[in-house]
This record gives sequence, C-alpha cells and structure tokens, in this order.
Amino acid sequence: MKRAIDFGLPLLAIAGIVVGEIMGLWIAPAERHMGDVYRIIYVHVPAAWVALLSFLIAAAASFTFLFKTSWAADALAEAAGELGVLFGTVAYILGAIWGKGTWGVWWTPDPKLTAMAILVFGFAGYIALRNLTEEPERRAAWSAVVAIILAAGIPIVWFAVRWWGGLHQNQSTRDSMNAFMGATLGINVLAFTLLFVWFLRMRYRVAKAKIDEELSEPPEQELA
Amino acid sequence: MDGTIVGGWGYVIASYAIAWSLLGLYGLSVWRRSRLPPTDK
Repeated sequence: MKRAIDFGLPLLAIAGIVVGEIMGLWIAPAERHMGDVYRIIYVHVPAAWVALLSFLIAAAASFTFLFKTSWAADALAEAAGELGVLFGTVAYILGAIWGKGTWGVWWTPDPKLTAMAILVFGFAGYIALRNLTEEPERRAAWSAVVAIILAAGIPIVWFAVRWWGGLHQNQSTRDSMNAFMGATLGINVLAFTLLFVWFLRMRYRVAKAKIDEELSEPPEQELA
Repeated sequence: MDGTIVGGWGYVIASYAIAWSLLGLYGLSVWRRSRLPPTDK
C-alpha cells in the first residue's frame, strides 16, 4: 500500500497539473475584462489554498504535540510549516504580478494582502525559531506555541474581504465564474493538493529522521 | 489604478515560470533529502 502511494501519488499529482495547466493556458477562454492575464488564477489560487491548508495542518499538529508529546506530530508541523511558506510565497509573487497587470500596483495595504503577508512572514519566523535550538523538547514546544498563535491568521485571511472589503476580490463561486473556468480551477486545486501531499510526505520523512536521530543520541557526558 | 489592464501573456508566462521553478527546485531538493541516509548531518 505504502509503495503504491509512493508511486501513485506523484504520478497523479503530475498528471493533474499537466491537464490543469493545459486547460488553463490553452483551452479556457480569455476573461471578458482582464483578457489573458487572468490565467495566473490557475496557479495563484491553488497555491494560496494549499498554503492555508498547510498552515492549518502545522497548527493542528502543534496542538497534538503539546497535548500528547508526539514526535511524529512535531515532524509533521515542521514539514507543513515549511510547505506553507513555500506555497504562500508562490501565491504572493503571482498575486503581485497579477495585481500589477490589473490594479496597476505590485502591492497595496489591502486587508487580505496584509494578513497573508503577516501569516507567511510569521511562519518564516517559525522556521527560523526551529533552527535556533537543537534541543528537541524546547524546539518543539516553543515552535508549537508560535504555530498555534499564527494560525489565528488563517480565518482572518479567508474572511478578510468579507469583513473589511479592499482591493482583493472575494472567493469566486459557481455563480460568479464561467463553468469551464470553474472546472479548470477545480482541477488545478485538486492537483496542487496532491502535489502538496506528495511534498509533505517527503518533507515529513526528512523531519522525522532528524528528530529520531536527535532523540537516539546519548546525553552529553559532563566533563570532569 | 486607471482601469487599464496590462501584461497579458508576458505576465502569465513570467508567473508560471517563477512558480514552477520554485516548486520544481523545492521538490527536487526535498526528494533528494528524503533519500539521504539519516546519519548524514
């Protein structure tokens, strides 16, 4: 089963991305007002969705660590935190390019953009914090608290437009989007989620191997 | 913010190139690291 997932997951993710990107770049029609530049949506939105999912997993795993002292949960939090920063950065850069094309500015202090920036930079700090100490218990506990506090930003990013408005548009719905464009976006979201799970499994293995090695090391001998 | 849409395909190609370069390099890096023996410090 594990072997089937190891081979099947990357294949499914890559196939989904190839199909999704072909649909997004060549088959989907141009948008009425934005023209072709809107095609950035097919990477920007899936990357942003995966980033938020990743931060949520990091927070849930951190919570699990604090209550059960599960080292697997600590490794999962480390992996998810790093992937959240990766996908969040991709979403942010693409959003800036799209913003320049449609709004005329790379960035503006819009509530959603500001909240997402705080979340991504916050989790970049979380990664830095994890590298500050090599003592596993202290590292896991400190970073778990930080991840849980940062997770408060997830609903703020999600509902920012509904709560405060701003330049960024609200999430598209079936009623606000052409059916083929919606299906193309759905396929890309699914493919990015599979890509994320594949990356997460690999990154988790790296984190878990490192923690296992640290925990198996004999305590340092005191010098006489 | 004068209502003019600029960019078009140039912006789209730049966006996709940046996104897939970052994700591809990260994927390659984490795939390589996940195959290293755990004792490699």
